[in-house]
Amino acid sequence: MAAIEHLLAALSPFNVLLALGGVIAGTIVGSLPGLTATMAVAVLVPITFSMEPASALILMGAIYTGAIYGGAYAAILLNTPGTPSAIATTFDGYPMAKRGDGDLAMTIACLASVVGGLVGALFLMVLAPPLAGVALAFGPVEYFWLAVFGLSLIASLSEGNLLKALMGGCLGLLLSTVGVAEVSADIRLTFGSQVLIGGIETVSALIGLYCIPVLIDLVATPARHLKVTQESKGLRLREGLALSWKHKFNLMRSSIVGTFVGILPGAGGSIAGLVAYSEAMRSSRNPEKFGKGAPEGIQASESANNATVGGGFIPTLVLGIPGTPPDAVILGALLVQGVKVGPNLFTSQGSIVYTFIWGLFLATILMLPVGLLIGRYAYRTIITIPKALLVPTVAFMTLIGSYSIRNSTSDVAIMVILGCIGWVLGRFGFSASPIVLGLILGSIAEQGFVQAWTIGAATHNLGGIFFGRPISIAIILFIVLSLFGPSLVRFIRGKKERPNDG
Amino acid sequence: MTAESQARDTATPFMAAAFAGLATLVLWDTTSYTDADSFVFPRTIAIVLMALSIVLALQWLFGFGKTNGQAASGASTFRRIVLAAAMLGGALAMPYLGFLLAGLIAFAVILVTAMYDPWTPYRLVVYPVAGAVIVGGFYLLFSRALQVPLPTGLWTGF
Amino acid sequence: MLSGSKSLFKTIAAATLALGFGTIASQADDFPSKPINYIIPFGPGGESDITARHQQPFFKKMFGQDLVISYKPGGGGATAWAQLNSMPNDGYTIMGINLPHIIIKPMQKDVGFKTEDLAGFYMFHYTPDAIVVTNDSPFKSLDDLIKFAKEKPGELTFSGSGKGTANHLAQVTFDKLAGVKTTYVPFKGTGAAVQALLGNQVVASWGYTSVGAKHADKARMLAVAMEERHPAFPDVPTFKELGFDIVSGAYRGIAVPKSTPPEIQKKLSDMIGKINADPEFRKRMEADGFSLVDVGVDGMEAFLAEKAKGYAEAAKEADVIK
Repeated sequence: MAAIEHLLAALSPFNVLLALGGVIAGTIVGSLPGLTATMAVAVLVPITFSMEPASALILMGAIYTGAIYGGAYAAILLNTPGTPSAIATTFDGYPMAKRGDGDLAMTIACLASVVGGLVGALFLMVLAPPLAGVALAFGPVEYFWLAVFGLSLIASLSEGNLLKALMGGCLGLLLSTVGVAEVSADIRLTFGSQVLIGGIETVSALIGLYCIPVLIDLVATPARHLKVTQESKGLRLREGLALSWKHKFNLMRSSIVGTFVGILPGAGGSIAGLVAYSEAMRSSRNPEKFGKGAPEGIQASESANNATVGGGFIPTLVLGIPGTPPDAVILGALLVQGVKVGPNLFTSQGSIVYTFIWGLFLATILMLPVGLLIGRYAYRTIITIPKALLVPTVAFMTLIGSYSIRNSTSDVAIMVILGCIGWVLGRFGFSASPIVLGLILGSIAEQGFVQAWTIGAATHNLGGIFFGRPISIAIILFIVLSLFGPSLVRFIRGKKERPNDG
Repeated sequence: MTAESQARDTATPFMAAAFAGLATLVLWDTTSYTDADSFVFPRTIAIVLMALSIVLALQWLFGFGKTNGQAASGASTFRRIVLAAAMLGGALAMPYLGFLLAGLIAFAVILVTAMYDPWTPYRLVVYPVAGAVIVGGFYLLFSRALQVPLPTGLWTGF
Repeated sequence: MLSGSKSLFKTIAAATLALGFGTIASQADDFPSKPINYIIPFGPGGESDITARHQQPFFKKMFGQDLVISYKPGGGGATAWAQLNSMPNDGYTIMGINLPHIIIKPMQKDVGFKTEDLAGFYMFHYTPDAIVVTNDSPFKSLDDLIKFAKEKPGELTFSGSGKGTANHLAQVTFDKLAGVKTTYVPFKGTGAAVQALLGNQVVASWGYTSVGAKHADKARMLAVAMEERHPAFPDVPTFKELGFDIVSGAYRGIAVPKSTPPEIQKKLSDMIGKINADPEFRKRMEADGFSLVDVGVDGMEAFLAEKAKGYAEAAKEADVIK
């Protein structure tokens, strides 16, 4: 059988070595805030020119999936998503680490990432050509509603003050418009400054808004960064496995959500994590625990973002339209190697694709031991390193990381200033997450809206465009459910149980 | 909501004014755009933000709604300011001093700022060495392995 | 642990020293004697990146040094271009430049650079504009499309990459020449514009010949904006043949900081020209739908002046500039 042949090709010692090395390097890259999967893959491109296409793909895929997973480390231990995909991981990961369950959170994140990665790869292997249609069924208006769905999470994350959360969301949305507009090319909100023409870079803004406030508060007191309950509890693998089994439906749902969002070009891991998180919260029996250290939150976010790896390869390989930014780099590398992507790739050049997919499976499985080991080491380092070294090290990492994304010193300054503003706003009850959601989803919402409006106006069918398409209606339904579902349920249940005053 | 905490809450009207000011600024800026595609979104958001700011101000005026901010207590504001200043200074100095030097200085300042334990001879030796290794290691990782063109200093030349 | 740290520190110190010695000024005759830093003013994966990646192995093979590609996206390229002249002027820093971007952007607002600030030393290819439809589209020729546009003014929707871009300006020019009114829907980049076309969100797309090459299994071109037919698409007519004087596209070239010595600029120009002349390079570029041009350092000024006039007119027409 051909499948066995491709599996064996993927298991050649060289490819196994590439997968292992790729996952290790990727995990480390991802764990450093500011080092993104895109960058790591781009650096590798020249090296891959001398390789077989399948081996090159395995190496880049392994780095990519490792980096998406590694993003969870900084999210859990430092409240800073190491890659944008890990934003939703901070919501529960950091609270868990603060209360002394950081080791458990790391293990859960690793297990969830492996599950998500495997599900994504499975879809890629079995259903890629038909699923590529999903990318095409999503028009501008669907992207618009998807962004609105992501924004509706602001309400759930509002921590008791909806008004301030909404204001923070608006601030984020406005920040997303700074600089040269991506589609209309107008220069907005720069107030004559050259520094702002490039806009607010999302990753450096994330680092600033999440990490700087943590550092500012860390330096102010002699207290330990994370609470350590007992000496060493090891990996807490048994506990992690039990929790994963208990929430297996959550893991599966989130992985599928992640795969599908991954298929949508331009959406990416951050939105996948947020949508999965939102759904996990909506269908949980105790949604009030989310945001305060619920393992389900980490599971949702981490399984979804790793599932986008496999999902993102679907439009990349079938349509030649990259699903995510790292896919764009990989696609470019393939083009230069002379590999023609398209549905034919799966038939005429099947050996490349299927060897690669097996390699992706292999890399994802290798992520389990690699991730648990590196994760344990990272956790121990963070809790044992003296504060006088921890704070400057993290501060230095934010500086070098935010610089490296676009090789821009202005981005570093913007990062620090946004961080200070974020800290002040936090003091007055405006938390960072709504701002970040606005910033990330703003351009998708705006572009989708403007494009849909242009098309609708041209065809004299504005209402039909916005509210008449089946996928749009489904997304709108989900938005309504996640906004009003919980209060509806509470209303029906009556006043049996009073909501917690957290 | 007690009368006492109401009396202390001078921040809310200030925040409402700041956000309303931001919204006004955005609205003013949108008047310079040539293309309708460019202003429809920021203008809508600015109007929403303005409305929300007014609601926040009204809430405060009539004494309902809750403040969930925390007051700074028992913590060193001075160290906070030094940290923020060191990071901003490091960022601004990069083009002149080069990345390595600016990073080392910022690292050293923050290390001293975050130091709560007494300076034993052991720490006096180990901490600076560890700091240099961390900064240098990251510098090499980024500039060599990842080929990031880190800024060289206008004044220093490296 | 301690000894390990120490030895690492030694390595760092040695590396720092080596770095200091490395900056000794190099001369034009042994240029290039170290890797050249090639900055792409956009993100990875775009056509500027891909064409640079095509050059990379040829550069290494011909001149023995690496071409190290890095990215500096932001402001549609403006962030990088505004900083080019403050970068090292020894010829080891080069940066991609794109038309019409470097002409249109400074006309809109102050973006920190002017077109004449950029010392381009070679324009090495362009991606011709083209009208693309899906394979199952009822429109078989450009005439069909024009007939539809005349019957239903405004209802013919085109996706395209951004505004003030080659795609957008071509659409405006075409509307004027054909006497029709069509609707241009800007997307973020070519990939998103193609996605909208293949998903039937729009009727047709103003894309590039590279789109026709990459998506040949799902989309076909009705006309290309070239002087002569593209070698990879002998069956697709040019706009000129069909009676519309449109020869346009996105031109890509490379620039250096303005103060780079002229002899180094000349040398770089000759090097890129040599890569362009390589038959294997030509074959690969053309298969991907690109069209090679050769504008060296000497012809650059005249070339830019001529292009600037045409772009400015179309941009005014398109309301991109006032």
